[in-house]
Amino acid sequence: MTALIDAIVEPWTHAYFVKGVLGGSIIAVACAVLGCYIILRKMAFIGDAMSHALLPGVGIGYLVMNALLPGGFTSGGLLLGALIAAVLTSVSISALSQVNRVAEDTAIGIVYTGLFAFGVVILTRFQQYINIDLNHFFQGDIYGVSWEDMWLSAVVGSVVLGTIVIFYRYFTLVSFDPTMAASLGFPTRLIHTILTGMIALVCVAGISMVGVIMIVGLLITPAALAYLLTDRLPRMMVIAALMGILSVISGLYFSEWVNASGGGAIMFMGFVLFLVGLCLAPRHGLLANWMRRRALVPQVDVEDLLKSAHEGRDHRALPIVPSRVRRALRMLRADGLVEGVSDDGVIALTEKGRREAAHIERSHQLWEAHLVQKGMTPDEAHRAAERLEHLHDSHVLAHFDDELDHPNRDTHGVEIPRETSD
Amino acid sequence: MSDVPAISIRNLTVSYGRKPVLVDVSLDIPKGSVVGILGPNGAGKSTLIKSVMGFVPRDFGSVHLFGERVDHVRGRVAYVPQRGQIDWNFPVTVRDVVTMGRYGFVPWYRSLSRNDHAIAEAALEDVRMTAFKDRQIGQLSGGQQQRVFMARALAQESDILLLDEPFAGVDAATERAIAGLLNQSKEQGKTVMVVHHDLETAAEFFDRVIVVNRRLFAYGPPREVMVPELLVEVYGGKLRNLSWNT
Repeated sequence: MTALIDAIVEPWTHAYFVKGVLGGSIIAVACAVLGCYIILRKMAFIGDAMSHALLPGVGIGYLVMNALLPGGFTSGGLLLGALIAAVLTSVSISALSQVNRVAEDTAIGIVYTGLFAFGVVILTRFQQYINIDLNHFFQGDIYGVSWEDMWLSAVVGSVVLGTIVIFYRYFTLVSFDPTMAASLGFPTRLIHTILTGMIALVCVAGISMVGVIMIVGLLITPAALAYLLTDRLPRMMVIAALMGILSVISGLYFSEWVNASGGGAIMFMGFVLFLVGLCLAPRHGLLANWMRRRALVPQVDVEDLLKSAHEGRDHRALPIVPSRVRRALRMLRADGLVEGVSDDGVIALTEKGRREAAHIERSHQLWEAHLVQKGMTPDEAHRAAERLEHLHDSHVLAHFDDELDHPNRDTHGVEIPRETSD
Repeated sequence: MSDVPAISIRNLTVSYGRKPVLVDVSLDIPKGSVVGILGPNGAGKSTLIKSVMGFVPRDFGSVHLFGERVDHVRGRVAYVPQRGQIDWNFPVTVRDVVTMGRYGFVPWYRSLSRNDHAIAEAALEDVRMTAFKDRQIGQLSGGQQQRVFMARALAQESDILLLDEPFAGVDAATERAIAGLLNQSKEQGKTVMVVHHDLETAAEFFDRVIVVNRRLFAYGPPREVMVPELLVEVYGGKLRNLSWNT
């Protein structure tokens, strides 16, 4: 017991853990809220591309900054370089997709790999001047968060959240109905560019902590999870933010316990959370879907049950799986068609139930008579009518009734019930 | 002032890339009329509507609304998109969508006023969708969805109403509701343009029809314009069994 409490409390005694939780949470919240727009606008691939394409910007920014102010304020240079790279990426993607035969996703694929490759070349060529290694770019180092990084992410987080809160109406309308937004004179292009720019910002701030791939995960996974849980955008943003924080905290614990990389552990927990949500989400989850499908009662079962009751037969003798019979019976009761069930399995119907049963009986008889008139043998017609009786649209039956000149008795000489209106 | 047409299009020519979509279209739509736009698929019907909204790049020609250049009078035009253009999974409620009709009136630094919300509520009441206001839009029937977007257009309190295929795939009740709203808008002096597919019902809903296929083929009262010879020419013999009898 004390071991468990220890495992929970102990990490908080380390400054690096607290700093990791703090810095990670700031980035996770900014990513999650921004991510809601990214998935609603189906920009996930752009987010992925953007994060990778930042590499040359980061490298060149570092080089230039170091040349101007040796050893000084490098994160400013990184930020600026990354932003320039982001704008360049965005502009070249849209320019390239204008070309016939280059679709947008093709353009994204070309541009980001190209820029990333350029970044790798720069970083490796000027290795001795640049204090960034590629491994760091991929994995980040959440336990090595410097105060400078912390401030950077705090500023980026406030800018992103502030922009989204202030321009919420603009972002939402442009995402939901760009045509209307344009007709109101909203700057749809600019808004798209701002969103792309904000992706670049959170990437720059977050890459040093969790690395490039995991930052894309933080952008997309918590928002996707929140989307499964709610139907309101503001609520989706709050839930996404909470899920982001939850991924960070649980991920850092996980990395402490199993001694794994912090960034990887965070995103892994985010992924696990998503899977749990995917299964258990109340309306859009897999379990809910499965239960909804299970709860569907085949109309045919219900009608066969009604007919057995009408004919005074034991409903348990029907060739239907017992669980389906139970569900159909439950549905009949819920609709107020059943009075009770006798010991020998005969269902007693209410007035309404008798009316419905008579309608199906009538359907069977009319189909049968119709088929016999068309030249089928009575036996064949009876068997076919067993299935066709379930198509009992009143217009069809009225048509048969006219065609057969309103018969009183069916092919077996049994009386055909008249249709009574309710 | 009253003789200034609500919509005045002169020599409008629009192309996407090298492909011309509309060529030399000129027409005047008087205030308070309900006009249907007819033409085969890809004839430029939606482009015509979008150029009235003022954000389609024109190669040539002009669009004036109430005598003013279209880019100077943004927001006086309300638009109901085609059902297929909307992501019905988007996490917004009926009320959120109708409130969007007020976004054009509020500067970015201010939030929507109580008056804006009241106007949105009234528009919802007009289309009898108040009971559904907290539903997510994907949980409505097609007809109800159409009515919500009509309510949004009403909340815009605009002088010009543009509808892209509002009658496509709706039930009879919604069709009546939309027709009623078209009439109501007309009585309020609004000018309405409707992209329409069904030739047979055109005479019933519209004062005038525009028949377009890249260029303007005809424009006038439906019974004068929709003669079989013209329609066969426009639709290229793809019509079967035209049956509007006078």
